[in-house]
Amino acid sequence: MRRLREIDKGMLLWALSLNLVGFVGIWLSLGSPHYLMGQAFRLLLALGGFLLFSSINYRKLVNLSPWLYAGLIAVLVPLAFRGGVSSWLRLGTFWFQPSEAGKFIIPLFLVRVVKKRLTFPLSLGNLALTGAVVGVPMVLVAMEPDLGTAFVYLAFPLGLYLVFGMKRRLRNLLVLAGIFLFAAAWFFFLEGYQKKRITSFLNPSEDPRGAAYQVYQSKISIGSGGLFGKGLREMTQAKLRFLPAAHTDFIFSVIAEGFGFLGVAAVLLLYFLLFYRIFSAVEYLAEEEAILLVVLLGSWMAFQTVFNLLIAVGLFPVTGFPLPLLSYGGSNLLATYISLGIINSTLAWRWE
Amino acid sequence: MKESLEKLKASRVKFLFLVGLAVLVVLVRSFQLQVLQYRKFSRLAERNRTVKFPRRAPRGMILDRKGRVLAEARATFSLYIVRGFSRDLEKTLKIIAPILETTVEVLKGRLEEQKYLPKLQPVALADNLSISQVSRLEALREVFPEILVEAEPSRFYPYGKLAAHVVGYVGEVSLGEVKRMGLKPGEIVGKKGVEKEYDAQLRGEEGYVEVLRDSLGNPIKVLKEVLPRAGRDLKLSLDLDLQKIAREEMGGERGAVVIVSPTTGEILAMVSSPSFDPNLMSSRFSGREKVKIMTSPDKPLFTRAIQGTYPIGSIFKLAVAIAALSEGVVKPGERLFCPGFFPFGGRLFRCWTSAGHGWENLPMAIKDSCNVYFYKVGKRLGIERMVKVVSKFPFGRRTGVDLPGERAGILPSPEWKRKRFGVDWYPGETLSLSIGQGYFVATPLQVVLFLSAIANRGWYPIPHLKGDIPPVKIPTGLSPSVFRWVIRGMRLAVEEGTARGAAVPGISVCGKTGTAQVVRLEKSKKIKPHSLFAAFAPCSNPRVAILVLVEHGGAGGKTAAPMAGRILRRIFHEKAARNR
Repeated sequence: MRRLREIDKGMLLWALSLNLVGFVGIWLSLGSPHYLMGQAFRLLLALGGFLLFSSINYRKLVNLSPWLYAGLIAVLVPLAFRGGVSSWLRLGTFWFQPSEAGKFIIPLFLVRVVKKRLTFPLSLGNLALTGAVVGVPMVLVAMEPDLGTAFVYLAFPLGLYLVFGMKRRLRNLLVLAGIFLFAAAWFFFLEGYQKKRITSFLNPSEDPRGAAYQVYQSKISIGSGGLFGKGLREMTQAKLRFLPAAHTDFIFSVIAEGFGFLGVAAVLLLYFLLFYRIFSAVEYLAEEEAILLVVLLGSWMAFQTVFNLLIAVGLFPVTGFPLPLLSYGGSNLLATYISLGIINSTLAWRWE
Repeated sequence: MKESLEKLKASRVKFLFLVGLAVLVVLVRSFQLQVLQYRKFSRLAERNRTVKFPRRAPRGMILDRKGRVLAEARATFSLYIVRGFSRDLEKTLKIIAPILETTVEVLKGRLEEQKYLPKLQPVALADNLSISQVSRLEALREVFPEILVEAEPSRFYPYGKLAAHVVGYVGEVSLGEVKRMGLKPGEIVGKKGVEKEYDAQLRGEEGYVEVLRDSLGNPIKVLKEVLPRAGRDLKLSLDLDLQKIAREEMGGERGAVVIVSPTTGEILAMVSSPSFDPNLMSSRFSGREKVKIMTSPDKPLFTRAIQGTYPIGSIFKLAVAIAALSEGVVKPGERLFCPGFFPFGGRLFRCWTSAGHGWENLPMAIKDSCNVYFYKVGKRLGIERMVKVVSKFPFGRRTGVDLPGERAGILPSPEWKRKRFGVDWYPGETLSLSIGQGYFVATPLQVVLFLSAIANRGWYPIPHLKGDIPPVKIPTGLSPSVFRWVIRGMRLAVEEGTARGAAVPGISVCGKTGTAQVVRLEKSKKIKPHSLFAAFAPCSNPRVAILVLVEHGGAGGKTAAPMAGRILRRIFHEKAARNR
């Protein structure tokens, strides 16, 4: 328990502040305290996860990670091949998305597998290894199909690339392979509605009531918020259900409608402060393993946050995933707080 | 090892830079949306959430002179579609088409007609829905928010065909009328008859409800409601009893009957036959029945009483007689000889009976409708003087009746002929005109007013359908004494002349038959002439003036005069029976 004294209180403060904003957004979009109670309960659960993982030595987790990873794959395989649209798993009375657990299990396993093997800049062998570790769960998740979460997994190779860099030729090769993969996915893998999201983003007038509808309504929500917002009573977009998935994927638009540009600036500032604390934690660490772990965990949270925001403001095609800490729901919240817990564990156990 | 650790730590700057950059991008983009484009998105949000539904004003009733209802507003159910709420319009139409007992193509055509309306403006797809249709459509609303069933006042004509041309019908405002009359698309306006003429009075003012709605189109609450202002009732001069009598006596013939009060100009009955059902025509949708009416070769929508221009045959002789007496070219008692023919310009102009009428004075000539007498009088008169006097009557110009679409007819003159055909007037044409042949055409209403002028001995009123308005007298400037001899001739015609079929026991009737030759291009086809009879009664104290016209009815004395007689007998005797 003494380890808990080492917790980065700033990081927790900003995270909890964002939760508070999220509560207001959920209340605005769903308009019932019933949902707030549920969300508060989920937050308590997530904070429990945070405290638990903060107090566990991260080295133990890294050593345990092959088992965790194996367990993850074991759960994802049936979900991927069960058919239908299902990314949910029932745990007792709770419904849980196993793909969210991947967001902290993959970094743990990645660190365990690649530590001491990674070089500056990344070699082809490093890449193949990373690709295999991330790729297997990513494909499985994409097959559920949960393209949003699979997309977020891209944060891990991107994070490693940012840390280690890459030879230019190798990078170009990778970009080409990426284009090729995208084309292959387009013709053999993507479902009609998924393609439509991309085409309607490129050409919004194609289908104003369909795939582009969400972005259109999201932009109306944000834009009509103005400088100061509509206030709690005058909200129309979210309350009258014009904005789909208002309390989950598009909660940012709800906040923007209610609190205007000033609210948006405040939320963005909170996120920046949070990520500043997360990535600054690296400074205090003296172990390669710990640094990599923090960077990878920070990567997925930053990646998911940034792309959710870009989607909400209409700068990226709609891909369904929640905004960390703000959106309604438990799985992502738990994954976020566990990730923050592991980051704090690296701080708490840094002297041993 | 140490060096690589530092390198690892340094990478955090890259992350922070990228996160900072992304946050900045989102911030700038939000600024663009929320501050720079605020007005645009604010308007879009407003348009998202509110929708205006029209609240139709009930049109005023149309009543006959005794207060019987000719047109009223009834509550019916109509189906509207709000295209802006629809996710798959095609599918919706496919589901509602069988309920409406129509096809998807018909509904699509209907939507296509209204495509200029704003997306959130409800478009009417069907009206007069039955209760079972209403309940089935309402049930669909859960899934198809674009479906809207509204109770609203619609037009109903209890007497249907009886006075259809007078009352008219209503319909959705056309695009041209929207601009001209300053109305909203989808409003209901008069399209014919007094419905059109007095539309401003009858229509009232449409209201609207502005409703806050959610994304499924469900109304949340009413933001603003402007109640419609009902239209004012319109009382007509028309007497439904007379209208019924005239209609019944007309039977299946094509033609017109017009009955006016000669002193006030009130139109008491106006029948145009064949007629149509205004209830069918008032439907907003081009149903099969409506198309049938509009394309029928009998032209039921054609108001023969004011739009049909006909040659009037011997009735014109009355005008020639008045002109001759007024210009002093013949004395009332002066006898002219009719041998059955009249040679003129190397041609033989014939009387209608080859035996001839012998010596006849003016009243006798009217009684017998002698052609030769009027050839001779016409020749003495000359075309210029004839036209000068006849033009004092409402011929060749509109009467100013309060109905849309009235035609002027033609009162020919040498000047008119030069303008129209670029050819000079032939003297022989004066003779033809003297017995009502040639270019002269008039509407039935004009003829009745001409008869009113004779009945009033020198003036006629402006005819009107609106009741309770003071009469407007138009003087002809002719001496009352001129009319005495003409009236005597008309009385003789009914008592012992060509128009005996129009006699009414106990009532003196003054009348004149007309048999109008119809010129047709296909000579091979033998067509009967139009049969006309014009009269007023009683002779000394005229209460009604009447014109009966039966298209291709044969001789005036054979068809129109007896028909008028039946009508007049019923008018006077049924009235007497009621008064007793």
